[in-house]
Amino acid sequence: MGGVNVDFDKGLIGGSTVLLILSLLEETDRYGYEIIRELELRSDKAFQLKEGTLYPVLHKLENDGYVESYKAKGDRGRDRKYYKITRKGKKQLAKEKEKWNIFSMSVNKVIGGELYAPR
Amino acid sequence: MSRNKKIIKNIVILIILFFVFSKATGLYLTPLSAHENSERSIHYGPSEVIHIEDFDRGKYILCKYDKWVSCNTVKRELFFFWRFGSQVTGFENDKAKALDYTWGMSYENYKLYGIINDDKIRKIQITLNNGEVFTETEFYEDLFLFTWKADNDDQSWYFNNIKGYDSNNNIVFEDEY
Amino acid sequence: MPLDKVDKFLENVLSYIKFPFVKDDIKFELESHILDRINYYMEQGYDSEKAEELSIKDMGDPKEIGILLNKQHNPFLGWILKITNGMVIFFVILSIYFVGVPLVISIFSRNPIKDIPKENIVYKIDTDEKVKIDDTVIRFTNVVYDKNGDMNIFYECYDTKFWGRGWSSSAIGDIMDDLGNTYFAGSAYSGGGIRTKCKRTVSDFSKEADTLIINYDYYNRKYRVEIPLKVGDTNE
Repeated sequence: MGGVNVDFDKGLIGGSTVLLILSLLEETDRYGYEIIRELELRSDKAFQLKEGTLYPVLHKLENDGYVESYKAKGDRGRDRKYYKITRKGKKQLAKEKEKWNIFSMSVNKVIGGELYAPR
Repeated sequence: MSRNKKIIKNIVILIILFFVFSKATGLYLTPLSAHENSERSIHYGPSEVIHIEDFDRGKYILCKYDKWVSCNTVKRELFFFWRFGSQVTGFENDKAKALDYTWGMSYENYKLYGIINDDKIRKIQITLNNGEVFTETEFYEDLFLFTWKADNDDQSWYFNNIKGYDSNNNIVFEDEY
Repeated sequence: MPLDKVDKFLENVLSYIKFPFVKDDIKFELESHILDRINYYMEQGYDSEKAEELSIKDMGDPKEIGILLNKQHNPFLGWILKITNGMVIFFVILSIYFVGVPLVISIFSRNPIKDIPKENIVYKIDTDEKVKIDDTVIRFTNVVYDKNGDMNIFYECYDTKFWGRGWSSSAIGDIMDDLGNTYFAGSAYSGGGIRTKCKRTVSDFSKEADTLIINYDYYNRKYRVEIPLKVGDTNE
């Protein structure tokens, strides 16, 4: 197993950062480092954000009401700031998934060419 | 909850609490609001405000209600607020007299006010026990108001007598304490 | 591990944050993250110095992070939130004192009827006469004539408009009887709270009177309550 070391344009990741983060939080509450690690593991290291820039995104999500934060003990017994998705956040996640589906379908249609051409 | 929502929630709570607090403590945001509420809670009025005059602690509000004349006091409190007046209710005008009046004081602030029933009266003069004389030719509709501040709390500052004059300086009305 | 490279990095980030109350929280969060990363690298076999170096590099540009974080923590709104939070607490405390306490007093206030010992009662009449002047409601509940010749009138008094605490006078009107007597001397009692239980006592009330009349006529507010006597429980 070796990750494909693809050079993703930061813009692409930036656009779907909210989708990725809310998705991970929908599964379970997580703290910042956990989110980074999970992104790395699941994408086979294709997604590697500059880790510090995750936090402005999380804080913005909290300001907008899509997530809530609280302090709790993580593994290793250290206190951590956990993030939890809110009901408003779940609605937004559904919207983002919808947007992503439309986007990826449209891209596929364009590059698919003949495969997707109307008969 | 997002920060902006929290701010709005706080503001709404503050408006409600302030309203409740204001009603419970008798502190109001405007002098007229304190005046109107004081009248209603003592079951008087609502009177028509004829004239408002400032004094160092607040305002005198000279009013008419039906056959009564009153001069309510509202005092400034805690910089922004106004408190309920004292001496809210008025006296009943005796139309048989050329002028009718009453007077009172609160600490060193004195007031004498009344109504002119005979419109021949053009000038009113009052004398205090200590000899000081005040003259008024400015009337508010048919009401008048004298205010004075005492230097001490002895009776020399009390009202002694009042005289009402017509335009030829004849005495039309006279009375003593 | 001295970790002063980490401290320097954090100080750098924090220098871009204008709202002071949020700095500790941010420092805590970023520091935890970096420490986790350092652990990760050390588990991979790096030494502590190298691990520190790599972890800081992984975080990214401190200026970029600081500026982006600062955007999320607007000091003006932050102050407004803090101030309004303080004001809410202040007004809640004031409300508890000015509203909560009278409410509790109302609920637990003693009923002044209990002040009259049973042996002293000549007759007691229960009534339910309600009158309203401006925003004040007065509900007469009982009348007790005692062996001292006193007529005790019990009533409840409350405001229909938000706990108005004004100059509510305890004067309920002129106390008279059907024989033409008016009573002046006496005493009044007023419990505290929102639904105040009150008592007005007049002395030397006539034994022969058939009706107690309470007549209020001041400043264009009028009511007249007539309570028939000698129909209630007598205590001979």
